[in-house]
Amino acid sequence: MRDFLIRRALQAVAVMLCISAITFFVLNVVPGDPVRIMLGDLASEEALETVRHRMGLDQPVFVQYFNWLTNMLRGDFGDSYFQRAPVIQLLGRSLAVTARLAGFAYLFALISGVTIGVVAAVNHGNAIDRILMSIAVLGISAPAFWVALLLQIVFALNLHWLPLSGTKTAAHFVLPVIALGTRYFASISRVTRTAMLEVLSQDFMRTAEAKGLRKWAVILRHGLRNALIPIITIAGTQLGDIFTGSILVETIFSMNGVGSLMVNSINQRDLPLIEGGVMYIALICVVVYLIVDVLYAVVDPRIRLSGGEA
Amino acid sequence: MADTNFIPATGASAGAVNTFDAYGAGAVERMSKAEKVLDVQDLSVTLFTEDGELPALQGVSFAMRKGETLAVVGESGCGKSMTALALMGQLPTPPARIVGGHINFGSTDLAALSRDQMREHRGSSIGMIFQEPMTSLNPVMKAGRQIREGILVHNPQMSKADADARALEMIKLVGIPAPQKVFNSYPHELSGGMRQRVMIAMALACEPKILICDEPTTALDVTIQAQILQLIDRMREELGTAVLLITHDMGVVSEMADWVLVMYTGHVIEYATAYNIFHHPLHPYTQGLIASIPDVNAVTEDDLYAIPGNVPMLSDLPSGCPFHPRCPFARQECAERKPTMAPVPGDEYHQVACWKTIENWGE
Ligand SMILES: Nc1ncnc2c1ncn2[C@@H]1O[C@H](COP(=O)(O)OP(=O)(O)O)[C@@H](O)[C@H]1O
Ligand code: SF4
Ligand SMILES: [Mg+2]
Repeated sequence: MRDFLIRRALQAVAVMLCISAITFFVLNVVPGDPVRIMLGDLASEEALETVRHRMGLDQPVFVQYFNWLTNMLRGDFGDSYFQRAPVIQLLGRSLAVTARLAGFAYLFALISGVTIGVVAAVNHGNAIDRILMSIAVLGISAPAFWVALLLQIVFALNLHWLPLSGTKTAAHFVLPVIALGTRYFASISRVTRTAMLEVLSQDFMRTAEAKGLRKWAVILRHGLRNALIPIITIAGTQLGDIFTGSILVETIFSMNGVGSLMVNSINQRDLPLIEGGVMYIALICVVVYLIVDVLYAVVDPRIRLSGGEA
Repeated sequence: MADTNFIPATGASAGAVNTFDAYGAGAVERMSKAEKVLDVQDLSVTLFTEDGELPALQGVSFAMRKGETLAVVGESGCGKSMTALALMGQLPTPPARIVGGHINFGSTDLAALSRDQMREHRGSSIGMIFQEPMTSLNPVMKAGRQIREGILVHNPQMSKADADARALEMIKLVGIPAPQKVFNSYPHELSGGMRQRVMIAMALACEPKILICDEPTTALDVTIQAQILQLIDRMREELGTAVLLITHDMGVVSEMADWVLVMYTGHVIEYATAYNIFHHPLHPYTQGLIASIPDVNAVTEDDLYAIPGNVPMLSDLPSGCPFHPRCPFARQECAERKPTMAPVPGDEYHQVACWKTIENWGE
């Protein structure tokens, strides 16, 4: 298990290095001179040169990359070209919003998705199953922006139960969390149902019942526990999706999260901010996959064994 | 039994019945006096399917006695597992449901209990082990915990440490070397035989009066088979458990059984002491099963006897005697009237459902 962890962690570091290199070099060959955008069309060639020098942009690109990487490892992502503040600070501020939105949306999706999937599987074939799965199909096919607008119209504009947009209070987060979580909830519930149906018919479930365990102890302790692998797989990839996918919902609900920060920085060609943002998204994805891998091993002893020997 | 032309000339079963020479006529006397722990009367189970109602079990009756083994035999699909699951209150619902009869356990009729009410009996009154040791244990839970779980659910006041100790004791009892190691092993780390031992430890941990073994050795290697059967037999003797042994291997029956229940298409068609089943089988189907026992001296394919034809589908059961399309003695009336279980004249512990015996056709 320890070897397994170390190996996966090293892999994650390697992936991050690759992503950082690709991000940096790709962004440095895209057209559009950030210094010119920053200073405007009327700036003299001399002024441009001075600024380039001050920002280290006149050095060879490999040196620039190396400096950027080592600075980043020290937690210094550079300064935004346009907003006079360090990237790390801007990212941090937006991250607070995004993390809350995505985190709660994820919890909502996970808890309700697994619950509904299990209940549907246990009621396989009857009316409860059919109703729950119709909701899931609806949730998967409905685009997030549509759900968002619908929620805004019904609960904010018509009923006045919840605020329309912004991030001031916890109530401001309710509608965005639902809007963002809906499709993830829907697909988790479907995966859970399928996995549970498969497990429910297994021999060991009959054994568990034969011991005299309560129905729900059999379903949860023996059934759900064995259905977790496919659930973790889908839920894990979604954790990455939900963070990056929050951009749209942030925009609709006027929330200053990482999403809107990224969109603005790309429009302005604010390179340090774009790079920082991409690295942030990559880091989340890599960490998520790492967690998923470790969870696999925790949940299924057979994976631990083969993973440990491979 | 070589007195019927139904049994092939090779004299198939000669090797299998030696065990019974130890039983005299007095054995029945002794056996029938043992305490009855389960009395099944007229148990009927119907499958309510989209294509109609199928009679999976019809009027099944038998008794189980303390410290004795009742073997349930019959070809695949005859309702052996269905009978076991009915006793456990674990019928596949839907489609199966008990539609009649009684399962008397002490003063309780288990057939009248709901699946949830049966819970307190499962594991504590009746334990069960299944055919597939490979898939019958939870792959993500350590063996010891799986045993402990059953102990704790029936002894809620017991501490986890005590339950662990009890589980370990059971692991030792079923003859597992390195008990502590097996206690901490996941099922995939154990061999098939070890897993079946763990299953037995689990099923017996609460000392149920009845142990149901549904083809416990079918999936195992021959040498391991013998060990597991010996273990079941030792447990029966040491704990006084009544064993219901489901098998389609007549050789196993001859080794293990005190009583034999022969099933066909959800009916019991013969019920007697193992001695009588092997020495005086009356139902042509029973005779066919015995004739099908592979002979140790058999050398060619031709020496292997098989009952002609196939078990009919539940949706397409023959009229009258369900065995008549395959029976070499069938007469016209067999297709018209259904024989019910009746005691053989002079032996109330030998029952058979066949006109040939009931109406004493002779040969
Ligand atoms: N879940 C089920 N649904 C429908 N039919 C079933 C089910 N389980 C068993 N059966 C049918 O019930 C009959 C008895 O099966 P079973 O008791 O498993 O036979 P055996 O154990 O003697 O081989 C068979 O005809 C089988 O097809
Ligand atoms: S009742 Fe008739 S058909 Fe059925 S087993 Fe007896 S002789 Fe054969
Ligand atoms: Mg069976």
